Amino acid sequence: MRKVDVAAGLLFAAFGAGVVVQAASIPPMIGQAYGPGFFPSLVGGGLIVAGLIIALRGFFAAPEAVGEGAGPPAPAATRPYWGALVWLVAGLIVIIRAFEPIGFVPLLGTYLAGFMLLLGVRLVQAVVLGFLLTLGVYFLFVRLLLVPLPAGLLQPLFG
Amino acid sequence: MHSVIQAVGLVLDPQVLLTVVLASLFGLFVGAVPGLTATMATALLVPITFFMDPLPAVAAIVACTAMAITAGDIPGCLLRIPGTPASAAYTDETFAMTKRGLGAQALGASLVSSVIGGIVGTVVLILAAPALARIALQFSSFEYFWLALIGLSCAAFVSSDDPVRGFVSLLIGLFIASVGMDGVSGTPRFTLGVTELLGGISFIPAMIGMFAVSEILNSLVRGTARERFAATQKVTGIFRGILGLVRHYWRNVARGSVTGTLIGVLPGAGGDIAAWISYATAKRFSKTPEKFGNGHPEGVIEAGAANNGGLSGAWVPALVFGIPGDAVTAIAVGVLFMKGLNPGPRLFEAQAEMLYAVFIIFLIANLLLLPFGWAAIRLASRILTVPRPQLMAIILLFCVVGSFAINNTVFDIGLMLGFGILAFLLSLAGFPVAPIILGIVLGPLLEQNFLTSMVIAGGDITGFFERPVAAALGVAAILIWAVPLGLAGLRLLRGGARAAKPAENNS
Repeated sequence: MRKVDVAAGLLFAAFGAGVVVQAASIPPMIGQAYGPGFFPSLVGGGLIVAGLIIALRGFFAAPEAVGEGAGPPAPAATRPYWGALVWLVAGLIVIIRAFEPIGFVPLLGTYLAGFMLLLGVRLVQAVVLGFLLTLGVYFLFVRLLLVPLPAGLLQPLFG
Repeated sequence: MHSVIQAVGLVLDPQVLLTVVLASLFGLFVGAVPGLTATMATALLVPITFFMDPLPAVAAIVACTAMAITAGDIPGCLLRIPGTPASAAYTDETFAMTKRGLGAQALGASLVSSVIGGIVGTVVLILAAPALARIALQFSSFEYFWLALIGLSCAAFVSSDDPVRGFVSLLIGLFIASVGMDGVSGTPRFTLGVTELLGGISFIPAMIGMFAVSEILNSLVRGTARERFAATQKVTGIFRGILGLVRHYWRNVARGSVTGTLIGVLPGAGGDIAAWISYATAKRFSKTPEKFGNGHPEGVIEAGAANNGGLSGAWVPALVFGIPGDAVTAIAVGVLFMKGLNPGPRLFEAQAEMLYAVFIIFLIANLLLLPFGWAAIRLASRILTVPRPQLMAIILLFCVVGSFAINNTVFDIGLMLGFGILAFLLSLAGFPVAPIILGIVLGPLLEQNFLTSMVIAGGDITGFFERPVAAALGVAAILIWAVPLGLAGLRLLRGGARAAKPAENNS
């Protein structure tokens, strides 16, 4: 049994079922046999079938041998960077929430500096590089491409 | 002829030329750094092209991908890590050549054959596209429905070794395409009451998430985020004896260029697959197949020509029918739609000079490969020692700003994150990502042409087979499904009896 396949397959089948149920509640076009709900229900049906096939195949498959495969030599350090990973996701959520009030440069500068710091870049370099990059991109997009990136806290400086 | 002269004028615009050069340098860098793919380069480039005129925007994508796919050979050859998936087919071979002291020859041969393959692909594009477009002018919604279906089916079956997984990825893409107001009736679908989703899921943030953010997540989880690559020696004498080599293996150059281009023309199959198939063909038809794998240039030359030919070939269905041949052209088709230049046969009539200009860009980009590729190989040791954390920080920054810039909404940054996590989890579980993007682009085409056809045919399915071309395409589409399904069924019947026994023993 390959657990990943069973879980993924069942998940997709369940999702497909959800899509079919939702699609059934989309009102049909008057006088037409095939309305806006038709394609999504096909897609959902396909997901149910394919998901079940993957789950069943995974259930009957031989368990995966560990350490199989003769790819390129494994790199020495393969420990995941959980800190940087959490920072990446949580930081983006903060950025989304505080984009307007705090502004692009303070948010992204801190975000990048912290990201690099967690990956072992020295503090001074991480902070300087993080803010320089962010400032550069800020002016590129605001001045040249006219994208309204929020100045936020730095409004008095950039105004 | 008049439009050709106009086209030259368009290309000679300094903005266009500058864009080509800058995009080329960007593509070379991204291709040469392992872990950054040509698709990722395109995804990061698109938010910037969004603010350009149509021609420089397309030029940037063309130049960037041609460079990236060739530069991908460099780390493959020197470090045995392919820079882009398109180089994976012959990475072991070129690395074996490097170990035998033939690194310069390997890189020179793959570079020159790439240029030839790219040019052959372009010539096919120039000759075939307008001819096909004249035929396509007669097409109605029936033919387009079948074409879209063939494109989607190929995408599912070709893009991974497991068609069922490819099919699931494709369905996810089709589902994503159906979110938002339906194109025919305007009914909102799957929006969960979120206003931002009424217009559908924005294409660019989704793509940046799937091809750039997911790669960063991947390198963090696999712990390769800080990995420094071994410093490599400087490669010199790249073009020494190259003409003799190409002349000696001219059959491989020719075969690789042609098969690569043809594979590229198939919807859903691009340079990656072209390289794998060509490497295998080279071995099969070689007089010395035993030398393959021990540092023999024959396969490298054929596959090197094939992946660049495939890149150009993929633009044929993209420009003629609006049906992309691979993930990169899927993105390009999305960009063209956003620019109001709807790809399709009408484009060849209304904007002939634009198209010729794009063709000229293809030629320029492939010729630029020679000097630029040479410089990149010379600078390889520098490019490969770029510190990874800083590089990823830059990519992350461009992901955020690029996702925001299209619609000026933070909702899209959230979309980018969501799609990044989704693509990362999918690739962990062994599902290919490219069919998703093809599903997103082709979904509306498929659905709208189906619904329109149904209205025309008055709900009668046989209407889909009444026009001769539609009937032929329909039969082809059905065969694409019937043959693998039939084979799988046979295998299941034969294998079922054998597989049942060990399963009993285990339980």
